Amino acid sequence: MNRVSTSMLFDRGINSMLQRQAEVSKAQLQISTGKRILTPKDDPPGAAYILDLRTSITQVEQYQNNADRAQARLELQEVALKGVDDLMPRIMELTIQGQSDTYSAAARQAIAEELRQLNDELMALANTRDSDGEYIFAGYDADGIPFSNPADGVFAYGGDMGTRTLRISATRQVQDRENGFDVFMNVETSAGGRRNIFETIHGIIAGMEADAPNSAYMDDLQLAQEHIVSVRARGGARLNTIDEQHNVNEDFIFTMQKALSETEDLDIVEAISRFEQDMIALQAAQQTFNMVQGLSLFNYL
Amino acid sequence: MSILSIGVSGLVANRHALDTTGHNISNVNTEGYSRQRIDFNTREPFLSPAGYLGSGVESSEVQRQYDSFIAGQMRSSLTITNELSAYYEGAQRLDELVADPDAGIQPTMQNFFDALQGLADDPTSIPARQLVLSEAETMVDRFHYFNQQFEDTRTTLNNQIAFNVGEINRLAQNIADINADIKLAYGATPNDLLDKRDQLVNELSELVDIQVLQQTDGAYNVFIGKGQPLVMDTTAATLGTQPSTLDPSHLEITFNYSFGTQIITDQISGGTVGGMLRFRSEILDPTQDRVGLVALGIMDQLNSQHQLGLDLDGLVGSALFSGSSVGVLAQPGNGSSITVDYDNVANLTGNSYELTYDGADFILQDLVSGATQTLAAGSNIVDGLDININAAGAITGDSFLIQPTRNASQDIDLLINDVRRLAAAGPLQVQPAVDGNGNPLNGGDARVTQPANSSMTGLPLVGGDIQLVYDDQGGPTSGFEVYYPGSTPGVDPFDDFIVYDNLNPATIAGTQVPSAQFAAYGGISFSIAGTPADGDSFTIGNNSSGSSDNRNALSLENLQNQNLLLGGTSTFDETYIQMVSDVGSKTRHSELNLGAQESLLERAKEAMAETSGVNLDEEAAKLIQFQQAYQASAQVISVASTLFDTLLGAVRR
Repeated sequence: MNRVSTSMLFDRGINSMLQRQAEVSKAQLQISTGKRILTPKDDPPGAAYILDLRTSITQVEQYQNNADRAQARLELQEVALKGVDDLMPRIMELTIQGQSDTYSAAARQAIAEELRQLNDELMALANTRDSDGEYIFAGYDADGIPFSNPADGVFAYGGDMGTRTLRISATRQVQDRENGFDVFMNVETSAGGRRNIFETIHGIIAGMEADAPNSAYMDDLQLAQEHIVSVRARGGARLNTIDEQHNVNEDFIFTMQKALSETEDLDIVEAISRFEQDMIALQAAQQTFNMVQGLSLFNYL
Repeated sequence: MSILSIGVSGLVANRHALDTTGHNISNVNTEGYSRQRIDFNTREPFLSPAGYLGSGVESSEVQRQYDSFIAGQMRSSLTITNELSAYYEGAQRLDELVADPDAGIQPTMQNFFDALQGLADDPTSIPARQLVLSEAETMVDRFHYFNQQFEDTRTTLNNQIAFNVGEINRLAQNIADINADIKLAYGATPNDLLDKRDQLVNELSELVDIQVLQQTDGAYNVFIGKGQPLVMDTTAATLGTQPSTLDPSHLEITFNYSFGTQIITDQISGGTVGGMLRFRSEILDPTQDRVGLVALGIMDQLNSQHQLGLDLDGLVGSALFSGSSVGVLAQPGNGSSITVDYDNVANLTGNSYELTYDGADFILQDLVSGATQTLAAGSNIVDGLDININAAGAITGDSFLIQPTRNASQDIDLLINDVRRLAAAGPLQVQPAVDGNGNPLNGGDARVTQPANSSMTGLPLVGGDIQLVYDDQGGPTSGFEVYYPGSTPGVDPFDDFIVYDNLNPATIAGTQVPSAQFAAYGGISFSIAGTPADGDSFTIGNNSSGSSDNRNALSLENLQNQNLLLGGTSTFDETYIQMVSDVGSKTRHSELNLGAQESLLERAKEAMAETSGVNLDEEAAKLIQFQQAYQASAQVISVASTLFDTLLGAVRR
């Protein structure tokens, strides 16, 4: 015979109510937080995956920040170099005019005057500063003004050879600025040596002022212009790289966020239906407890 | 025999039965109570000329309904369930600690490394530098917080273990006392005392695994651990607690003999106490060690890298974080001694070890994997540690506890508070030959990349720069003459030579110069590309004013992506995540086991109740049954009285 003790009957009723209540409370907590995993024990591999995804996402978001920084700097560099490029045709034009035999010494003097101004403008562009006040063509030594004109016809570069890179992905770095030496100082000349752009222009100016234009500087000017174009092209290529990586990063973040949401987020429909089932089970447990405990032979004595 | 005495026997017997039923009803909710039953026997019959005449009823001894086999099963079920419950409770606490994404260590690590990237983006920015320091501080605080949680858990655990050992002593004494009472009550079975003692034994088995042996005189002998006699007849032994001589933060459980005490911590299993001990060794210690490993890795790697760079004022970087040291706890009375240092943090396992001398060898045991190995006297390089054993005077039983990462989460501290001290720049810079105004002097277009240093040996350079001068021999013997600081090109012979054939630049483009060549000068490496002209030269000098140089900041933040822990297999993040996942798995596993054991215990309780439990309906029915029999017996007495009256009446007439 299967005997059931009275206190067992009570215990069983109480236990099943407690158990249902715990399930209801968990479902309620899941619904209110919207999270499937409340603590790692709910799904240890899933919890590890979530942490992993979160790290990856924040890290790539930081790469995007870096990319935005690099982009802004390269765009500023492009503005400065485009300014340089825009000066070149006028310098070229004046130089060609000055070569003409029809020009008088006075006219050449006037050309020299304008060329001096243009050369100053060029140097101002080479000393461009960014929004943080850093000289963009100074290498690592971005606090001090890089280009100066200590004496007539003497042009000095006080920056260094540093070229800075920023990280735009775990495996990819991009240069965010050029040093002034590479842009303005280390320029090939037709004779095979190297000379800075300012000095080349000054050579033209000196020729004009002496009323004896030197045609060799024409070729050097040409080379200087090509040099600036190639530096701009490098910057353009870097901007493309950033753009491309930016998109790759964006896709990565999107994919990871989707994975995160799939791992972390609660299936609300499933959770609510589970919650309702748990509630019904709890009610059933309460009702059966009430009925069972009301049943006693002593009621009939 | 008379009808009167038959009636009286019925009254008495049924009165006993009613008493027993009443006793059952009133104890329906008494924990450990076993239902009692009384049986009826016919009394000795009386031989009359008409044959044997019945002489009424007598009640047998009151018996408790008890199945000692099921009771034994229930005891072991109680032991296992309570062990898992204590284990799970501890596991759950750590599970919740590591769960919170906002309170975890990992987000603070991520923020710190993000701030380092911010520093790389803008090395001159004071706010960017400030952010690095404040994120580092937050991360350090979080490590401290975790460590405090571990220590609090350990303290609480010690208190609970001590309390439970007191409970074990109290229960053992009570069992011994009841043993005495039971032995005195011989003749009849003291059912309620037996129940009371079984209840005490159940309570004891909730605390720890025990073996119970019933003696012929009814006394219980109770054994604990590996057969230590906790209760023998009417005397109880006592257990004690004392801080471990090896590791004072651990409480040991002792068995007190008249002649002294024996440490039985390792022999104790099961029950609440066993569960707590298992939680401590399987979850608490390893988790604290693992978090410490992450802290130690960050300290070690970030410090090394930071000291390879220059700060905003051109000074060599100092340590970012304070270091930690290997925790070594030696048993008092050891004859030998050891010193343990980190050999290579990247090779640490993140586990603790015990080193013991068995009389012949020093045996090192990994306390997590259980693996052992024999160490020699002197220096041993094991798992990233340098264990140096001074074996002189070694005594059998010498033992040491080695905790390489236990203290690291506590020890980590930020040492830098001046934003200018953050070393974001590289120490050296290369530049091609220029004149006093920075105009190029080299004829060729060769370029040398900025040098990366792997040490600070010989840095910053004193006594001059390193110079590279190209010697064009018109073929494979061409290359750069290397002049180390102090020697002058054109005056002194060159110190070294980098082969670089300008006639065949395709094969040498991007030539990486190995750092070995410059071992005495920071172990620098750089690469050369392009075509140099004869006499072209490059100077590698101190980076004296490179405030916006971010090379070292890039190296610092990139440490996050490198496998720098667990033998070069795991990043800081991965090591931490693995710890979270381990805690989660162990918690989940124990939760599932606990659920299974609880239903087994429930079943054992039901089986117990089937025999021993009181059912009120049953007792109500019996109440009616015995009441009716009692009333009928009274009726028999009344008939006897009538019979007597009839007889008296006849005589009187």
